[in-house]
Amino acid sequence: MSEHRSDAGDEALMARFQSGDRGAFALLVRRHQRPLYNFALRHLASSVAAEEVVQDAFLRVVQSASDFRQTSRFTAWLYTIARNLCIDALRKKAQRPHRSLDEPASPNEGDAHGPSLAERTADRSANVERSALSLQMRARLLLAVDQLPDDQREVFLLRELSDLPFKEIAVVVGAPENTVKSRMRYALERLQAALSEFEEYARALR
Amino acid sequence: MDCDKVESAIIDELYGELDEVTSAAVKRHVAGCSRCTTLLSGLRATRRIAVLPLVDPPPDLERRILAAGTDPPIAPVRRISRVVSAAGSWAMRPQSAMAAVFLVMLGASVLLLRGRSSRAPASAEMIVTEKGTPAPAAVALPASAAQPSERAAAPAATPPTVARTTAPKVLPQTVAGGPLEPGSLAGRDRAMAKAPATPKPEEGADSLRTESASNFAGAPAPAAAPPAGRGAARPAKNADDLDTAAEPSGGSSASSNGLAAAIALRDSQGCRAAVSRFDEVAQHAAGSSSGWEALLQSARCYRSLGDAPNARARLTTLLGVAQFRDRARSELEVLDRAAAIPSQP
Repeated sequence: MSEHRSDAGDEALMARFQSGDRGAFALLVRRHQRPLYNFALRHLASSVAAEEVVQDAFLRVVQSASDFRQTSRFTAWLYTIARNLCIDALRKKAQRPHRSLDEPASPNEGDAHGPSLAERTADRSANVERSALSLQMRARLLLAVDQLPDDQREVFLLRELSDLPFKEIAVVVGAPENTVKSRMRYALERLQAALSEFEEYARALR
Repeated sequence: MDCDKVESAIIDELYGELDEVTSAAVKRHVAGCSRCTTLLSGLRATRRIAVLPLVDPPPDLERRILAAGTDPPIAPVRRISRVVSAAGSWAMRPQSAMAAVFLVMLGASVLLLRGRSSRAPASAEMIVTEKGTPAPAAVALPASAAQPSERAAAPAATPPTVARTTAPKVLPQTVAGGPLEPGSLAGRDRAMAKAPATPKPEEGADSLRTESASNFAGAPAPAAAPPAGRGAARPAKNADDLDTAAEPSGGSSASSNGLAAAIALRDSQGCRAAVSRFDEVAQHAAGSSSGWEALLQSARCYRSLGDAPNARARLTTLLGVAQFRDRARSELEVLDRAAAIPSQP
């Protein structure tokens, strides 16, 4: 029964939650919190801010559950909320100095040679099965992603981290689908250039 | 399919979003085009190494989210609050306020009317008497008056009482056959009666019990005549009451003066001029010795004027007054004798 429930589509779970099923909401949280957290983490480069975004996004889902229409895709709706929260967080963050993913963890504490935030983030719970890259290549990748233009980075993250189809990404970012695909291609070409020294290694992974 | 079309579809091909036919066409073109092969393979390799590591969120994040989401969905509450807000704004319109005030006034009026009607039911009598007018017991009714048929046949036999009982209209305030003008009574006592057109005998008796003795039971108001049973029983009590009735303090001297003036008028101008004055005094001072005296003098005048029925009616009334009983009886005897003489051949 529980498996059947967990296999239910997001929209079906949302419908059950709208009719008062708390368990359906728990399933949605369990299903989407990880990619959503990573999307916010790569977007904001701050685990604390990412946690806040994820928590606030699901809270908005609860508060606006009656506004959700069954004809919409839940993921598009959820990531639209999260993206807006990320934009708000970035605006607030722009008003105060923040650390980059490449900055040492404690630059003010004299630990200039410590691991960067990107490295710590990557090391903390990286999925080894998903990535067999070396720590160096991973750090270069994270740096390259961080240096992507915002519109390309968010499309890349939504596609690679959250596995959203381009049609839904277009809904989330509010741009035509072809524009989204173009941004995706530009992002890949930039990453290709940034990771050119690992291209042979990547081809060997085939 | 040419290179341009492949370039436009290369992202879809890379992420598997092309339909099978288009994907097959792209694959066929790429297989024969080195440029497109390089492009596609380069993007594939980049995508292969551009796999971002997934970071697990903090273990308590889910708990925090669920804890924050355990509250009931706010949407229904918001809906209700919207409805309440809309209803409130509608209710606060000036038109609504005016309607509310109108309804309050209407309700208050209905309540007041109902309260008044409950205090004074439809069958109740409303009697207004002149201030200062004594309210003696009902005048004793002669036995003959107990018979409505007889009274109807001989109205003069009824005592000079006017019944203002429960007739729906202002009952005729006439004195049986006498010169007592209804108008003279109308200004004295205002008895507004609200009762069935043909009141029950009990009601007639009750009205007599509660009304002033100055209200004379007139013959034209047979409805006011009490039944024989109760009517006969009551005079005895009333007679006792009359015996012990106190002289009205306020009008005793005035009634005495009126009586004296009436007597003086009779002495100077005769009974025809004075009889109405006697009746007035009798009416004003009803229940007092001056009133009974005036009634006696009135009866004498009627007798002297040859109006035996009126005289008899007044004397009959006086039979119920202890201190005038003897004099009334003697006067009635005189009347009887006078009546017997013409009847003899």
